[in-house]
Amino acid sequence: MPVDPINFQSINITIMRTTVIDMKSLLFNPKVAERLTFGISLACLFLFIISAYAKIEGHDKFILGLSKVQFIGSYALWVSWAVPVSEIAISILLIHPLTQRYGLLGFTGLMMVFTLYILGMLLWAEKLPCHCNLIIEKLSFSQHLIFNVAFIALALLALRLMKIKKIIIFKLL
Amino acid sequence: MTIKMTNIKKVVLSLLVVGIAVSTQAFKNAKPVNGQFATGIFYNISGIENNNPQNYVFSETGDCLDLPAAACSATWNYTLPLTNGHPNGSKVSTSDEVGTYDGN
Repeated sequence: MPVDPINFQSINITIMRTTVIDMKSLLFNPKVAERLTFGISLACLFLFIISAYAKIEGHDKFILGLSKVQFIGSYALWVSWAVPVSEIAISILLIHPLTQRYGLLGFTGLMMVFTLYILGMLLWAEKLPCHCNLIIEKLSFSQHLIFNVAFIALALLALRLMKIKKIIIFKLL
Repeated sequence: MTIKMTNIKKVVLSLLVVGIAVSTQAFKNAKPVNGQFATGIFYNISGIENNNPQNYVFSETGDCLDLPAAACSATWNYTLPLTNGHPNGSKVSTSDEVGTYDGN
């Protein structure tokens, strides 16, 4: 029996709608949202801890790299301590679920500062010093920029999911 | 009670991640004892890619500037003590990192 083309189309639309609704309901599921938020938070924590550790352990090299950067050069000593200390402070906030939101906000803010710094270096610096460390030491400045933007997007997603979770719990109550 | 337990679990897992992160970095930067080979980054003082250890030196404060593009650094096997900072093992990297060695 031939299939009515109009009906066939409506079946397709129904399937598509169901898929979209399923995806939405998956993200709006408090348990999934919570796990996703926690996973992102752990990734941010890991990144900041290895970053802070490497900056403190190789402090001489880090300060040397900073001193070669235009605009920052004269504040190199101050910046060389402020960056790892901020990373550790944000990591501490990320550890406890009660302060996780502030940690994610701090992470997003600091990553935005780093991203603006990289962007500024790409646009105005005459020579690009590569004093980055960790897993990203092999990346070029452009790839580093993409890496940072991806992490900012993840942190923003986690913050959004936290908000959604709060609304759902409020509605359930 | 359940919320408290979940929070404790999350804190423990987070601390575990902190431990893994620290140990990853600690092992990455571990220096070898005498007679044991390890890998490390050595800077190319000739600017041309080659396999001669005399053209590569270790520098605690060395850096690679992105420009001008040349052969800047490579990973070598080494064992302590080093003679004049040159690697005393085989070259690990298949190609040198591009940049210019800045030893200042």
